[in-house]
Amino acid sequence: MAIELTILLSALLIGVTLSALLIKRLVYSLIMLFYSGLLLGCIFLAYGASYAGLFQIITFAGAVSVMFMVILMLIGGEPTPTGQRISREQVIGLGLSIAGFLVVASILWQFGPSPIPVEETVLARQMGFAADDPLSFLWSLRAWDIVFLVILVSAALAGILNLFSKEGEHE
Amino acid sequence: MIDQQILQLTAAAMFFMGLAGLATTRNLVKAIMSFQVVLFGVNLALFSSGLGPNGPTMFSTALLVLSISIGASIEAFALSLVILVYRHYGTLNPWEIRRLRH
Repeated sequence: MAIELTILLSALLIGVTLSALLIKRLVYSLIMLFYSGLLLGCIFLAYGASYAGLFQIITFAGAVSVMFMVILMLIGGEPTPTGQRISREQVIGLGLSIAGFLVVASILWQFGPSPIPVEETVLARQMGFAADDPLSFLWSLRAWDIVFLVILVSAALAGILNLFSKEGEHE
Repeated sequence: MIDQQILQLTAAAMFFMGLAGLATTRNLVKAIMSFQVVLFGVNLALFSSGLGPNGPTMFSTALLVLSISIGASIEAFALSLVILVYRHYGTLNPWEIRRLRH
């Protein structure tokens, strides 16, 4: 892929994400976050990871955005409180984040990652995995992870269902 | 500079932007939005680290799908906790919630 497109997508992604974090009104912030998820999915799709790209767009730009919208409707979309004094913890957190980014950026700038050619298809065939499908590849190598993931998703679903149950409203 | 390096720098920027948002926000919903940005950074780092000369490796794509699912379910759970906190305390300001707790 052309490097110009990578730079353009990366710059757009950083700009949209920064605006999502800086905008005070939660609804506009959510719209920017939706575009951020969409752009990240586009980066995955542009590099040929169609499964991951589509999954990213469906999950984050679709389901999670709708969930955020429902939550904002439930709480009334109150804006972030402004005009309060900046506390010491906030200054320390911001300083540590900027310092961390500078350290990681300087390391990445000097020691760029070198792509290692891996003959995955041959390796997968030798180990008896399906070599053409990422999901069956995942199932062959990380079946227990997926089982625990199903439990985690069920816990999240149970939490959401409990939230909207009638019994909870009577309490 | 190669594609992989640009994507990893972008991932680092997103990770630390989300971390800064988590550290400075006074709203729990905004904190979860910042967590989502951290998650985007992690996913992009995972994707770019598996980017070879012939495109992304299947292992990194598979792990990425796993990471997206785990992130989305954690976020759903966190949002349901936020609603419970709002019903109980009537505010979403973590400083205020900490004061009301005592």
